[in-house]
Amino acid sequence: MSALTHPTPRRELSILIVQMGGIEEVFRSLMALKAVKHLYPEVQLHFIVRKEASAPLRRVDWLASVIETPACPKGEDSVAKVALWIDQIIHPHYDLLVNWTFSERFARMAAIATSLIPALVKLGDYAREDLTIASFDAWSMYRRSWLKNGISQDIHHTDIITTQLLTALQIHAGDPNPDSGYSAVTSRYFFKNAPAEIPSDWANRAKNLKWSAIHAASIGERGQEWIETVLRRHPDAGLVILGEHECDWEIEVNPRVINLSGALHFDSLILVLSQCSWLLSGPNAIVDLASLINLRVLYSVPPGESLDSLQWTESGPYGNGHMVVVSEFKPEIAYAVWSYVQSEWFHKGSLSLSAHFENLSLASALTDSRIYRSRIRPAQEGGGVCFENAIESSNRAPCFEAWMYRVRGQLARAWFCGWLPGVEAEVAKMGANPSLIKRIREITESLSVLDRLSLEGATVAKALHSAAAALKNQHLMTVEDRAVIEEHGKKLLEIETLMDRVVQVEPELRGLSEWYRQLMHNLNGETISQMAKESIHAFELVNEGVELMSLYARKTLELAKPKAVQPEAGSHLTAIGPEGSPSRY
Amino acid sequence: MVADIQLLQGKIIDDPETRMKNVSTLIEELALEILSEDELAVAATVSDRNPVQRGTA
Repeated sequence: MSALTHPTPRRELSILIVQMGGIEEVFRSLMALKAVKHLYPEVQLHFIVRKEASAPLRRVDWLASVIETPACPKGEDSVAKVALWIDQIIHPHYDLLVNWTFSERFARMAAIATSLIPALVKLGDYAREDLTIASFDAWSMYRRSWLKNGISQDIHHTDIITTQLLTALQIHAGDPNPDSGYSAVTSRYFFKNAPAEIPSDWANRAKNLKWSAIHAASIGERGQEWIETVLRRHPDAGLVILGEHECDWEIEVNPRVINLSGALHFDSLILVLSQCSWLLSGPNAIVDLASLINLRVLYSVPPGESLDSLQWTESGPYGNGHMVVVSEFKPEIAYAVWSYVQSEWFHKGSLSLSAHFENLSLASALTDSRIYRSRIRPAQEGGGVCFENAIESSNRAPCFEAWMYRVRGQLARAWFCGWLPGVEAEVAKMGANPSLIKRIREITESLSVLDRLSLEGATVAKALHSAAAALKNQHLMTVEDRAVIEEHGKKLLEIETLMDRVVQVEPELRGLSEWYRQLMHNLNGETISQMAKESIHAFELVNEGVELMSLYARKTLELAKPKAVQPEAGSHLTAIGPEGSPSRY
Repeated sequence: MVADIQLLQGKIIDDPETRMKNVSTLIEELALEILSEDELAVAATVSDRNPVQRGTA
């Protein structure tokens, strides 16, 4: 029986975060810890980070310690140095260790460190004795099976790690105390003040202007056109150009534009950002930093495989009120969105974004772009950040990709949070259109095959478990017993092959087979009987997923069924389909 | 549907002093990872600092 069967008194909990990824992952980890520290203010948070990414953590005064990876100059005994480093960091005993490193480049390093450092409870990826990487918990398996394999779903990286740690804390430390909230973490001034050398241009800027920042490198050359438009049309706006490296944009000399690219270190960057009202940026760590300090972001993201691809939502800006434009960067669209949100205080929602585009004669530009606004969902809708269509004219039923994206996220919430959405209401909200209905009909057949296969898999695994559990010795058995076990094993392999075939036919269901594969990869049992028991569970989980997806499909198809409407006097019965159009079904 | 606590609680290790059998191998592997990262970082710094060494001048 575990030492942690009973919740540990909260004040004694010390948590070690292993985050050896890039700076954007460090910011996301801080965002998650913000919530954890708010709900469990007594916990002691320790943080392991690569020395190249440690600067932000030095400015967070509620972290108990920040441990950098050791420098290993060439020629020195790096093994001895690392051994000494490990010995030093294991001195305090950690109650929980969480490996949040996700990026492929640093995942192995972090997994090995996770295996080496002792803790009472571990979460995240670790290195097994054969040096392969496995996961200690369900959320980490989910990240490896779906997010690493490009299977889009609607849960942000920050929400995944936050939920992972909060769930573990609830299990091991009991419910949080919302009244004891630690206010420092929710402040806009997230990082403690450090004396920063501010470039004189910024110190002497006109304070009566509303300043917005633009991250030059992630926006590209056409950012200059955006700057020119803003300067021309908004005399009350000032712009500051940011970036890791100096950018050589040819902007006419104007006190309303300050170029600080390549001129700021972390402390001065924080100071400048905190004095701006918006940041225009493409994918870059500065977006995560802005989210952390509650600076609103106009995020420009190039489309992925298709305009409707939603892969970017996993790492987009986090929080309320950010705007996202999905298209190759176009200064006129960025300007239209920026000028709309700049004047929100004035029109207070009475002007729609599409009307604003029409006023600017830019309505046609909306055809090859998508615009979203971020929002933190209420807990009863599943919580976390979501991105809603900001153009009401496109408030139409989602394409199949967007439908799957939402349903996949809901599978995860059902699997890991035990939370089931009101499917009927949600489906009604999403709506339906002919092409969506057609695609859903197509997957329905594959879903019913997967349903049968997962049920059969669970039955065979149960039979294998019973046969193996009846053995007196797991290693020595009679020829007859061995034949029975081999027979069950073969059947399981056949079922796996059939599941793979279904996914070949319908690749949109790959998430279910990847999830099964990941669960199999992480089997912990040492005997056939234990492994068979875990296999039963894996098939049951896949089956739960299949059933929930089928429920969504069924409810969406029901939306498309013709409905009889009450005839007006003298008129004939009419069948109406989705969106009130005459039904084609 | 009920959330699976077994899968969500993480791995509970009864004895925190228990170390893996192959600690020395893991330390060697970690040293290699850190070493190769350091080399990459040095290479990146050099190439940032001096474009001539990148062969762009």
